[in-house]
Amino acid sequence: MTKRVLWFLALLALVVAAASCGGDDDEDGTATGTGTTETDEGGNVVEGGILRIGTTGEIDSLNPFVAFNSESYQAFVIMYPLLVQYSPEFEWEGDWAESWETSEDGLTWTFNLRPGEWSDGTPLTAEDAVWTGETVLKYAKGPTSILAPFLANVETLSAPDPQTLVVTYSTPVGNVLPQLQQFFILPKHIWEPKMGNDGKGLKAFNPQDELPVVGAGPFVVTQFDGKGTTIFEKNPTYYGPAPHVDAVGYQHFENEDALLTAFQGGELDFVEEVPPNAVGTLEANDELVVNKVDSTQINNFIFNSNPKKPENTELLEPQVREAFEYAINRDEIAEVVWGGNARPVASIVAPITGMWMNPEIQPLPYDPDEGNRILDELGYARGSDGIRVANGHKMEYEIITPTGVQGIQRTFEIVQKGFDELGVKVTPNALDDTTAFEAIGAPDWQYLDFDMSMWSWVGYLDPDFVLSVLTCDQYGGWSDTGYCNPEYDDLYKEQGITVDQEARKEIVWEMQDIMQADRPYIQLVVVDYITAWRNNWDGFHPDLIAYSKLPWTDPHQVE
Amino acid sequence: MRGADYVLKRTVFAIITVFVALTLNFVLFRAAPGDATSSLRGCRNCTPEFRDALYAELGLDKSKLEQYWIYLQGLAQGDLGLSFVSRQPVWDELRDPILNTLPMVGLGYLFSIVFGILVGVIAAWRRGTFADWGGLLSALVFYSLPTQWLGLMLLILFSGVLPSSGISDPFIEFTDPSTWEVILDRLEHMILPSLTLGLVLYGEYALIVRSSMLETLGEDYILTARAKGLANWAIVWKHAFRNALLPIVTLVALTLGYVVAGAILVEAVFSYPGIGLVTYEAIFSRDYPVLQGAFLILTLSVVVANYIADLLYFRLDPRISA
Repeated sequence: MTKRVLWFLALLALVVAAASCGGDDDEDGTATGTGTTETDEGGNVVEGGILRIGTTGEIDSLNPFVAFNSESYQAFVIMYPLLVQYSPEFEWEGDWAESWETSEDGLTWTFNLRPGEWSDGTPLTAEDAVWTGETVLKYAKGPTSILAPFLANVETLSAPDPQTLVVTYSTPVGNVLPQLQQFFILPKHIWEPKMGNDGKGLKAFNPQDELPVVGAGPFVVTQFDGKGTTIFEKNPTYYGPAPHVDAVGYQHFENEDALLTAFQGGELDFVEEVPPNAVGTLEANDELVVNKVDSTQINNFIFNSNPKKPENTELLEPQVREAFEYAINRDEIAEVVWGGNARPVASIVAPITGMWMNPEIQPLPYDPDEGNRILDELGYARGSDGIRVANGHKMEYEIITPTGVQGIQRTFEIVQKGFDELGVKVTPNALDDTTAFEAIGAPDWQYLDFDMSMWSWVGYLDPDFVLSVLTCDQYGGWSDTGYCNPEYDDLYKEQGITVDQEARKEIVWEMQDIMQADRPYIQLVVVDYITAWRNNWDGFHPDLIAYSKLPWTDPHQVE
Repeated sequence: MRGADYVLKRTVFAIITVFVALTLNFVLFRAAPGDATSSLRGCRNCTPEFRDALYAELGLDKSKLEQYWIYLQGLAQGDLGLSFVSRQPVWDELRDPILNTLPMVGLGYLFSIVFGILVGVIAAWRRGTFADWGGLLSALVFYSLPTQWLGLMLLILFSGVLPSSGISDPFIEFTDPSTWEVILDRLEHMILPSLTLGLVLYGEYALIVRSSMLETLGEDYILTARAKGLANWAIVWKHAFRNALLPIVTLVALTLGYVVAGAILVEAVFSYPGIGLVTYEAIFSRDYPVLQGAFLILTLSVVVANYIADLLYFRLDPRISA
C-alpha cells in the first residue's frame, strides 16, 4: 500500500514553506539542550534499548537530492546537521548553530556553530555548509532542484572561520529560519568526489553503498533497506545531547493491517501513522497509548481551473462550483471516513497555523436545495432522466480518485450521493498516484483534459507553501488545479518579501479571499495526525516530527 | 522417432512463447501512462533541458523501436539493463529477492503437495464417508479463498505468536545470535507466507487428486486386484495412485510457474522481500528495466514448468511415445 502522496510532497516542500509561528526570526537564538530536560510522568528513564518504529511509508532514498517520501526527510533531520530547529513550544532554537545574528538591513545572517565532527572523525566545519549551499545553488535548475527552494533568494554563503557561517540574501526574506530548518548540511569530503560532470553524479550517488553512512546527527544509518528495516545507531560524535536509546529501527510494512497486528502483538514500540478506523481498537488496549495532534493535512476537492480547458466549460463558473459545495456533506465525511478524527474546513491554510488562517472563510452548510436553486437559476434544467443539461450536454463527469489517498473511495461515495441530489452524475476514475497526477496535468502539463479530482495537501506552520501551489509557476510543478491568476501571483510574491508579519498576514488573508471566490478547490476536512506507542515508553513528540531532532532523541523506556 | 518429434515441437513452442512474452513485457509497461521521470518522482519543477538529459540518461529519448532493439540486444548478452530508480544492474536488484522467494515458495509448495495428495487419496478411498466430506469441504474452502484475504486472516490469528512481516527479526544482530538462532528466525518468518500459499494450493491439489483417484479406483484392474486379495494400501498406492499420477504430475508442474507469480499477493501482505514485492514496487515507479527483468523471470518459470510437464507426460504416458 502506498503512502499518501501529498503528505510527502508537502514535507518535501517544507522547503518553500514555513515561517516562524511568531515572527521572532530576527531575534538572536540561544541554543537550549534538547532531550534530557523533560520531566517524566511515567517513572524512571531507562537508558538504552532499541526503539522499534513501524510505518507503511518507506525511506525511498538516503540521497537528499533524490528522496521523495516524508520518511526520508525525517531520516535526514537526524542524520545531518541543521542550523536551527523548532523547540517543543514551537519557538526557534539552535541545532548546530549555537546562536545567530541578523544585520540591520536583514540581508546578512551570521550563524555561530558548535564544534563537532562527522561520524568518521573528520571535523565538521562551516566549510561543509558553504559547500552544500553553493552546490545546491549552482545546480538549482538541475540535479539539486529539490533542495533549491530552501535557499531561495540566497546570494552567497561564506565561512570566515570554521565555526562561523554567513548567509547573505539578495532581498529581505520574511521566513529565513523556516527555510533553513530544512537545509541539510552534507559532509563535503564524502560528496564532493561524487559530483561528476555538471553535478549529475549528485543524483546517482547512493550514500548507503558505504555503511555506516557518514553523518553528524544523533544517529547514523548502519543498515539500510527502505522496503525492510533501516537501522539508525547512536552516533558518539554528535554535538548535541545524546539520545536515550542505543538504536532506532524503522520498519516498513506493506499494509496497515500487518502493521497494526505487529504493533498489538508486541513487535513494535511506536506507530507513526494510525489509520483513523483503528483508533478504537488501539484505545481499548491498555498497553497502548494513542495520541492525536492537529495537523495541516487538508483533504480537498479539485476543479480543473485552466480557462483554456476545451470541454465541460460550465465547471469553470464560480456559481456552479458554489452549488457543488452546497451538495458536499463535510460532517458526514468527518464522521464516516475519519471516524470523527477530522473537522470541516474551507481554507487551504489550516487552523493550526494560527494567525495565517483567514477566519472569515467558513465552509458552506450542506444544503442541496440551495445548490439546486443556483443550478436552476443558471438555466441548467433537468432532463427526463433527472440529470441536468448544461451547454447542450448532460452534466456527467469523471472524478480522478488517486488510490494512494487514505479514505478516498468512501469520500467519493459521499460526494457522489450529494451530487446526485443536484442532478449531477459523477463516476470515479481510480488511478494510482503517479498516473493520477499525470492525468491531472495531461496533456503534457497543460491541464486541459481533466474535470475534477480529489486529493490532499499537507502544509507547514508557515502558509507560503500551500499558497504557492496555486501560482502560475507551478504548472508542471505542484499545481493540481491548472489555476493561474496574475493578481494572485503578485500577492504571493509580495508576501514572500514582506518582513512585517502583520502586514504579511493581511496579504495572506486576501489571497485566501481570492481562492474562496474562484474556488479552484473545495477544501473538505482537516484530519488529525494520529500516532500510538506502547505504555512502557515515553518522550514522544509527534508534533515535532520533521521539525526537530527531539522526536528521535527523547523517546525512552520507563520503569 | 515420434518421441524426438514431440520433444522438438515442445521446445520450439516454448521458445516462441518466451519470445512473445518478452515482447509483451516491453510493450505493456510502456503503454501505461507516465514514465520514470513523472513529476511525482525525480523531475519535479526541473527545466525541460534537465528532463531531456534525464530521458537521454535512461535511454527513453530513443524511438520505441530502437529501445526494443537495445533491449533485445542486451538480453541476448544476458544483460537486463539498469534499474531506473536505483541505477543498479537489474540482475543485482533481483538476485536477492529471488533467493528469498524460492525457499518460501518451496516450503508452501511442499506442504500443499504432501497434504493435497494425502487428503485427496483418503477422500477418494473413503468416498461418501465423513472423511471424504471433510476433505472435500476443506479443499473447496481453501481453493476459493482469495490469497490475500487468507493471508490477512492468518496474520490476525497468529498475532503475537508468529512474526507478521519481513524475512527476519531486524534486531537479531543486537542479540549476538548463533547460526542456529538465525536459521530459526528465518524459518519463523517463512511460516505464515508459506502456509498461505500452501493452503490455497492444497485445495486445488486435493480436489484434482480426489477426482483422478476416483476415476482409477473405478477401473476393472482395481477390481481384479481386490479379487486377488491384495491389501488395501497396496491397491491404493501401487495400483490406483500410480495410474492416477498423470494429471497430478502435470498439475504440480504447471502450478510451479504460477506459484512464483502468486508470490506477489502473499509477499505484499507479509512485506516479504521477494520477487513479488519488487515487482509490485517497480510498477509504481515505472521502473521498466526491473519490471521487464522480473516478468522475464516469471514468464520463464511458467514456460519452463510447462515444458517440464510436457516432457514428463511424454515419459509417464506411453501412449504419447508409442
